[in-house]
Amino acid sequence: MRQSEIVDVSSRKLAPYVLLFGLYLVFYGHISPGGGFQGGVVLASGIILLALSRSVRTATTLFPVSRMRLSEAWAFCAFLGLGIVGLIAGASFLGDFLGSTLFPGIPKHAFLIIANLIIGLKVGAGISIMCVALMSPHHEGG
Amino acid sequence: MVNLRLALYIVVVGILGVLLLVVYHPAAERSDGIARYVEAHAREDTGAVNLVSSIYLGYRILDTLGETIVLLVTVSGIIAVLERRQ
Repeated sequence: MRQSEIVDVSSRKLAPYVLLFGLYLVFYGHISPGGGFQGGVVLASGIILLALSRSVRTATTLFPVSRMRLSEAWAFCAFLGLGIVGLIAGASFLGDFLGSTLFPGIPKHAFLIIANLIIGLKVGAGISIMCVALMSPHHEGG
Repeated sequence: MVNLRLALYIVVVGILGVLLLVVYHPAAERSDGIARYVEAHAREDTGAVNLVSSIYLGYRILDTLGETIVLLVTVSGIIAVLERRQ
């Protein structure tokens, strides 16, 4: 099936900005509306835009499914690790350990940025994996 | 049969409507102590300007962990189902 010129050009021009906006939402989640979940979904929507307008193969060449699976799994482990570090540092599980006296000089919202980054990676990778797996014609999961 | 189902729908929707009216009535007394607490303390407790993220990454981060587990299980389920068909 031949692609429409308009869809082709506009999606190729739009996809980098969608990805950039997703990163902005992830990194500025503690200041402006947004955060890990929303930013991750916008990141995934950039990948899905590529997969829909070009082909699934184009999207998975740029963002290989195996790497997305790795980032999904390791981001979850990093989230648990963040909680355990908080436990070690004297706060509760997943407690804000950067505000304690153990790390002087680091602003308190650094914890929020780290947590947002981990959640954004995890959500973006997870939703991209789901959609790419559902959209690929031979159900090649990776 | 259709009339019975319609009557059931009307009854359920009516009960829900009355319940919502009672709960969210403008004159009803609301306990907004938590809202006032978050508005006053969130900035210094978590360092976030955005109060929403101060709640879901500060006070209720365990819920966020649960949400990520839900997403992880969903992705695992989809991959398992699709790769079995292969």
